Amino acid sequence: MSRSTEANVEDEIDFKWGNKRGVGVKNKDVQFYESFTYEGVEYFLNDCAYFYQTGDFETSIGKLVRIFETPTHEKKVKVVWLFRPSEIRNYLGDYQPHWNELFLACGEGNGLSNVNSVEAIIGKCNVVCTAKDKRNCEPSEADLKMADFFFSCAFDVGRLVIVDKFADVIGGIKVEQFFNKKKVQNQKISNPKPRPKIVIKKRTDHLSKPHNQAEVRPENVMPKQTSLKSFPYKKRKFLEDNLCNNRSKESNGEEGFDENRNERDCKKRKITLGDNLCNNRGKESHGEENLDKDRKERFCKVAPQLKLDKIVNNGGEFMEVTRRPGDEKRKWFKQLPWEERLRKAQELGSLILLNNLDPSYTSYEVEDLVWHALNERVEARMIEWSSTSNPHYGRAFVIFKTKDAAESAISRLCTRCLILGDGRAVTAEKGTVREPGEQAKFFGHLVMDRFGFQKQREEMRNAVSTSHCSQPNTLEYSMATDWRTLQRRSDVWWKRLYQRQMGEMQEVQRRLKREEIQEVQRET
Amino acid sequence: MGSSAEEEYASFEEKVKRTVYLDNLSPQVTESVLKTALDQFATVKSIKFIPNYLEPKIAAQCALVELDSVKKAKEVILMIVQYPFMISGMPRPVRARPAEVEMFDDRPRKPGRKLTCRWLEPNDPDFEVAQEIKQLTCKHAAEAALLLKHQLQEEEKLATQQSETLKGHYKKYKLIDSIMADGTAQRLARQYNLRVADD
Repeated sequence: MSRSTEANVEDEIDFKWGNKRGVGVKNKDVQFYESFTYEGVEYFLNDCAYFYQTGDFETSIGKLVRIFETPTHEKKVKVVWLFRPSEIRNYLGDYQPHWNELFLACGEGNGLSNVNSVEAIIGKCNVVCTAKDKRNCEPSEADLKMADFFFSCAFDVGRLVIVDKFADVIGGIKVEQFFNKKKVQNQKISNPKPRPKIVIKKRTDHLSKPHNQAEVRPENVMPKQTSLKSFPYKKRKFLEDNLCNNRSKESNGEEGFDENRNERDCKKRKITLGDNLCNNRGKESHGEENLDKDRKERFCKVAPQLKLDKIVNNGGEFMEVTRRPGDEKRKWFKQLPWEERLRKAQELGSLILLNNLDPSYTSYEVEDLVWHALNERVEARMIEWSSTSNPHYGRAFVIFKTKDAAESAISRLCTRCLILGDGRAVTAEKGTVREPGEQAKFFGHLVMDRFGFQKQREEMRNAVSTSHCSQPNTLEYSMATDWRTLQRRSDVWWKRLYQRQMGEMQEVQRRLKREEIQEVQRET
Repeated sequence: MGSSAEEEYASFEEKVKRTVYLDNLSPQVTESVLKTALDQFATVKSIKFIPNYLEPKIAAQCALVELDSVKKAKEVILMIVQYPFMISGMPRPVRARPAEVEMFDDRPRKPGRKLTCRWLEPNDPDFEVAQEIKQLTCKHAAEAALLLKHQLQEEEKLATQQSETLKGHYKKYKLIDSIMADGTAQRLARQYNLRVADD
């Protein structure tokens, strides 16, 4: 789709060259590099990455063998491809590929390697070589665990066969470069989580700002909204109030208008809002803001065309959330347990918590929702309903691909409103998971070891080691009854709280003007 | 495709009906403890502890226990409701209730359901209301957190109070025990011409 153009926009702000490597032999204007940073991820020579191909649903995987800048300042990478089994399925023969197996391209012919723009890169991909070749350093267990894919055979693009012997040179590159390297391995072992580090290191707040800005329509750019987060609360509050006041004044004045009101209203609002915002901008000129202004303006020109047709266009209109493509894919790969993934995402900052979802949504439906509303492929899980959680609010943890994506999603959900079919407005915040070590005290089980009575002590010991129903003639029974009372009381107070909250919410939701539409939507 | 999704959902619903939700479980309760505890009433097919990622202050665990039949599930719930049931400690009893669909994070889609959503721009007439809904959502979450804190305080209060009572009883028993042991009781009985019933 518009991925590559979109990437073009992003690379303006989120691209950095690494160390230089030397210039071209034939053309001195070509500058080679050892690494570069793109979208917050640092890529080195010999790294593998996912590439996006226009029109293709599946991503391609390739190894970066050259990184260079052309005389016209285009950022290019030379890639030797790794085939997915499906790409060469006609030539597999009786070879049974593993589910995460790839084939290194070799030989001469089409499909061996290409020169690509950096923008085509989607993300890093961890590929290890398991070939039994003495030039290859055998990967450790940990490496294999970490790896997204492995390859042990090559695919000859000229002869169209799978070969398990590797030639000395592939695509003009020594074959050693394709094998696992000792040095790299050591690094990996000593540093089991290289990814988070990279991401954190390379991202600064100021980089993400224009990025967020790009999602907002220029005419209602709320200049502060994106950076609101960085303001102290008071100031933020003041700002919001300011905006709201203006808005409410306006709507008061226009009450009782005819049907066309809506349209006019909107137009007018745009103008006044704009003015108001300009003033605000003056008031809060922030050092950084001015620096970024140029850039941002350029952005606003480019970005809307990209994003408009995708997201903003359907602002105000209900869209149906259908299943996102490639939904079945989730079952293909084995993954870490959810809890570990949660913690990892929290470390990376790519975890967010959505609140006020329909509690009956399933995790898959939340994923679909995020896919449709925010255009992000994410992993989501509904938080299980427990006896103390409000039955009217559905919450879900959502893991985004990157920290930037998560932050931009939060900012989009804060500055605009995502309304679900039944009139809920989704809120988002950064997700935090409680630490596994954090152990709160559990009240209500009494320790009896000081009990003097032999007989009683035995009973108690039995009580602890097993389970039992309390008999009505014991002390324990009366204490248990006290607990029962407390449990019952807690049920009552939760119920009361939630009833009141639901009442409040319904009161507010009733004021949504589009309710007729929702009713229709609900019925269909 | 459609029919298989429906079948999947139907079998899931059936599983929900067979499942008992237990809470107020001590953090020491493990899967095997729970299994032994309930095996005396019904065959336990699977146990899943519901992880608590959000509330660091809650130590009590909750779990979903899948039993072999709907009838057994109902019986177990009835039994636990009628008699205080202790697992791995006393006197705080566990609590049981029928499981609900929303308690399963891996629940399948309900077939035939349509989801809709829309984005509101700041110039939309509904935008303010939507913002208000969001604020209300946050407020409600804060209220719930407060109430939870209150509940934990109540639990702590009850626990301390009970442990005091228990200490009192313990002291009493010890006193009786000691006068029985050192012969004071017999002496007093003789003096008042009473019979000490320790036989």
